[in-house]
Amino acid sequence: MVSLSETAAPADRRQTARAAHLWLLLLLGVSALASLGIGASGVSLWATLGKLATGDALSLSERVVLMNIRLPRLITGIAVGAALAVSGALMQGLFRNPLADPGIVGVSAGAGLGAVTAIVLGPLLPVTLFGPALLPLAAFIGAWASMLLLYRVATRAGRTSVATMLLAGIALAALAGAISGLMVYHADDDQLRDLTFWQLGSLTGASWSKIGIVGPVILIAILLAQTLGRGLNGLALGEAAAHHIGIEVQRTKTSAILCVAAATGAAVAISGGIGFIGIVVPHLLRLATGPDHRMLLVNSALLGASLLLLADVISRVVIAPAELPIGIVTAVLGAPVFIWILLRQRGVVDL
Amino acid sequence: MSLSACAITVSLGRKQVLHAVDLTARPGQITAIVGPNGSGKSTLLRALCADVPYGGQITINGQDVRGLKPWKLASLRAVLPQSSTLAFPFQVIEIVRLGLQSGTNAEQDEIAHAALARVGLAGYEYRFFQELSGGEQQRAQLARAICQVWHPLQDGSPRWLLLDEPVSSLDIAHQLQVMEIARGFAARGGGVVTVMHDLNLTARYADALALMKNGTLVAHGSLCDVLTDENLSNAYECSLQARRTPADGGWFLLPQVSKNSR
Repeated sequence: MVSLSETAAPADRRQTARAAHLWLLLLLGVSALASLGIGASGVSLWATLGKLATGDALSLSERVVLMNIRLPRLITGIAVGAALAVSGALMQGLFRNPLADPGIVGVSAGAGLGAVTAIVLGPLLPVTLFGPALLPLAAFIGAWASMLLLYRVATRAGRTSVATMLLAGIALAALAGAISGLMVYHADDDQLRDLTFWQLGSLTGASWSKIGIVGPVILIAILLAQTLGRGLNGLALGEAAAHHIGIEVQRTKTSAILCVAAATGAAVAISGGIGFIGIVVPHLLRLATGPDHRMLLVNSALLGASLLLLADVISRVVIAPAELPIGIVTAVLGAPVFIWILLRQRGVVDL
Repeated sequence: MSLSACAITVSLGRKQVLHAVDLTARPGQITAIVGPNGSGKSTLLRALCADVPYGGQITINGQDVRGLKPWKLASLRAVLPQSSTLAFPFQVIEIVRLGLQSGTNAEQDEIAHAALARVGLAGYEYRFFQELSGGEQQRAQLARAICQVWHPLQDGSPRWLLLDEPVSSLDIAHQLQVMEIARGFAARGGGVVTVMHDLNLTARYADALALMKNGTLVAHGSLCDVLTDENLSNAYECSLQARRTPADGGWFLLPQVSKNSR
């Protein structure tokens, strides 16, 4: 046995995946520093840290830029990136397909419809329900409804048709877009302003109050997702085989759908539509450390957060002092990866 | 301590495919379910696995299957499905480890390697499952299943291996290998229930037989009781003779071709 484990050790992907936890944590730290340190205002992180270390008072502008602009933005970026990447990994496990992604198959669009509805119809409610939590709640309901609908349409007896899933996603996104358009048509000027800012899809609007609402939802969804690793591994064998090895199939599926809806809904509510994080991150990780979901879900959260922070930094510097919507950056980086996966899959999956 | 099914009925859609089937399997034995195509033998196995809704009662070691949580049920029995599709590029050892109940301690890891060795796939640990041949995939899945029931339960009661046509995609040498694995599992006190297609292979390895036709059990019991010319010809609707070899008394079956049709 000794000789076997010695020769086998380098090929066992569990060690690689565990080592990746550390490397990705390091990457997240570096990304976080970059995100705090780089920005249009020219406030230097190092100078500020130096002042903090020596006990000097911060200037007002330094305090405002760091504490009220960059720090909330950093936390929002981490939360949204982790939420989108984990949602992607969960959806891919649930649909047993590497092409599933909240942005591509219409779940983000559903969440968006919920958000738009909340902005436009929210004021019509007789009492102010849920206050500032109405928008995330509506986004969650939109995401949840589209997840359920998509799963019903695309999955028969535990097997997902790739073509049906992608096409149903297109139809779902189109429908959600159309109804959103209808809402926009009915919106008044103030609401249009809200809508426009929301739809830009960026972390610009990050604030402590929004983090207070959305942060816990994303945190809970990501933590719950971590318990689904073995269940999703089992589902990779098929629903019957998953049941045979002792997995509560229905509970795993329901939990995965709820996690995706909560994480995607919250992410969309705070940052609009940011695409491709959910597909690129799990895919790269599967290539590097294998498809074991117990590792994949942790690493997805870490890499997703880092990637979104770096994309945010890029979106801030390329046309500084103006800002590119971050959705553009992630799409430019992510869409080629999606097409690459599609081409690699073409031989295997009958579209 | 046995696996028993009492008055099992299964309907798929509007069609009733199993009519009040009674089956008892004992530990230490290979119980084979045989019968012509469409006789309901795979459906019976799927009912035993609790994969399809069924009427009647199934008990394993005296516990009603219906009330058991999946993880509890998984500790009593492992299942080898007839065919399976795998999503994502898992390595062979990762598939086998899915049969392990929990944890990844060193002892559990050794079970996974030992299970692979037992099915003749030592050295395949880090190959990708999808790159294996059909027969190798089948054996890797078998390794996953026997991993799950490797040791007897802690109170010493038997674990069960349910196999759905385990040799269907294998060549003759690997057919024998898989049946030897099943026999070895039974010899160590486990119970095996397997759906079989090849009557001669079944006759060589099974200790008890359940012969099915049109969703009912035609005969159930030892080989002597079930392998009568009458039972076989009745179930398969063709002329079949069961004989024993002079050398070792093992059973074999011969189809009788009428002279006119030659």
